[in-house]
Amino acid sequence: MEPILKTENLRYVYGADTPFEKVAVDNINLEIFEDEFIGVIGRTGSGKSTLIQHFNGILRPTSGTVFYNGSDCWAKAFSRNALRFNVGLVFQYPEYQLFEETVEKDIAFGPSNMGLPADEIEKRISDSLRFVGLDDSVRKSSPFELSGGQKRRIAIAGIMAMNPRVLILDEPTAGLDPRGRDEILQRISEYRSEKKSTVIIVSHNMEDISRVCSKVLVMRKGQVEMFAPVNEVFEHSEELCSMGLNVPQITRVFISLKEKGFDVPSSVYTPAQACDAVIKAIGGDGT
Amino acid sequence: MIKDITIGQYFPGDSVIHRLDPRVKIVLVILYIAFLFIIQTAAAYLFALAVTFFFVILTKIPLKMYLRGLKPLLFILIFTAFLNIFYSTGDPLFQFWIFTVTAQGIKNAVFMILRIFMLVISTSMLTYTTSPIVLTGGLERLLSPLSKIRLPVHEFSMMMTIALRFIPTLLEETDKIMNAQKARGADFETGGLIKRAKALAPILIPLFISAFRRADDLAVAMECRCYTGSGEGRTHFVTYSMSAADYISLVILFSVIAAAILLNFVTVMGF
Repeated sequence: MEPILKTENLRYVYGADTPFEKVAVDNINLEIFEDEFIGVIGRTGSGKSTLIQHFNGILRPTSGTVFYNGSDCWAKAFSRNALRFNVGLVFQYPEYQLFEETVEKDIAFGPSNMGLPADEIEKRISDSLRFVGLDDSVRKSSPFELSGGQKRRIAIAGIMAMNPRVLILDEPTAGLDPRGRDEILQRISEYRSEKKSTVIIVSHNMEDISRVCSKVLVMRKGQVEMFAPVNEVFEHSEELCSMGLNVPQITRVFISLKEKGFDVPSSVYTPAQACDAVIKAIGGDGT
Repeated sequence: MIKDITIGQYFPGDSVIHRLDPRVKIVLVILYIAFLFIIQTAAAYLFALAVTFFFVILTKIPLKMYLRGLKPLLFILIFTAFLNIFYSTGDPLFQFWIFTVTAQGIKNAVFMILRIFMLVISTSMLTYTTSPIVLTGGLERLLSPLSKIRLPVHEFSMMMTIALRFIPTLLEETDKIMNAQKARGADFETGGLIKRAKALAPILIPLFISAFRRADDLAVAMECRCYTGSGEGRTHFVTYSMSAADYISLVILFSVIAAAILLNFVTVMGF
């Protein structure tokens, strides 16, 4: 099967030929397939945001190639505008990009750039508002009157309305309270199961990622450190800790238990796994 | 693209020039500009070039960086050279169609280009080696006598500091917003004038909103730290004192100017 997104020896340098030159990502070889739900994790400055901005052709690789559906995104005949409709990217703090007088006009910005007919745009607006859990009553209000969490959802809806095959979200939960965070993650999961699209979430919160994603991409100093299904990544949870990443609380408890001499695995990341591990450790048969 | 602008940029370093007192540096650059307008003869120009390169080497910043700052001026350089070559009166060297090229024309063109070249290099030198905060600090101290006649020197320099401080932030913000709108299929590069002007709204509106938000936040943060403008008894964290290097560089520049005035009387092969 052809991967929907693929990178080959991707390298990106900020401020080339100035004293501020900095290699942001280097030697990235990735294959992302349709219907995957990927969490990208890494510390601040590890190159997460730089990497994902290559997927929709915002950044041009300093060297190396990015492929969408098998074609080189920087080939002459390739339309990057079309690519951006297929790979929707929600930037960090997307609420700061809202600009229209009404919510519906703002959401319509993407679809109308695609040249869709008015009735289709209309449908996309209602659909995407439903996806982010807002009802049609906000359509006519100004996006600047809404609360921070609502603004964020409007901005995400603006990308969902383009109906992209790949949806990428850069820190969609940053700066939200726990309830807002859960709500957004929940909505994204639902969107994915309904649309069957590929979703990539960037975060430095392991709890978020372990809860919804199927695969984890761990970035470190501009390089891919691990790229594997969630359970495999958590088999290296001590390594993750030593890289300065926050593993889920439950995993931290089990790492400490292991250090104290209990016979438990340190790869636990869900309550159900924790239950099994504890029962096994105390020698019970689960009854 | 936007990040490629180098004029007014600061390149951190630890050269003699970096360490000079900012007040001295400002005075030096003003004197140097005056010097560039005094010189008249080829010998004086050669001397000025030598002085300029001497200072460029002292800053330890590659010449490439200075030349990059000249790039946007290329058109003006060519244009002035063109005007000077064809519209100077003097002894004609050769003629074609309606144009007459004179020896004086070529001389004026070369001198004018060199003058602009050295002007840009010397002013870039000031901003390349002095951080904006230090620069406005130096300017404030230089202008402080004016506060005696009730000019708001401190407020003026605070405004300058804040404005300079926010240029990179706003550029970064513009870049981010442009990328975010590009991700929604916005197109800033094609179409006629009106279409392009309209395409700016999705950038300008979020940019203005965030600039006002930042201004508001900054004002609150400054008030929280009891900022009241240049009240009585406000002191400075950094105080400047002249070092030996400062006095020496002032002496050097005055001698350079004296030398240039003398060289104006020396002509080489009639130039």
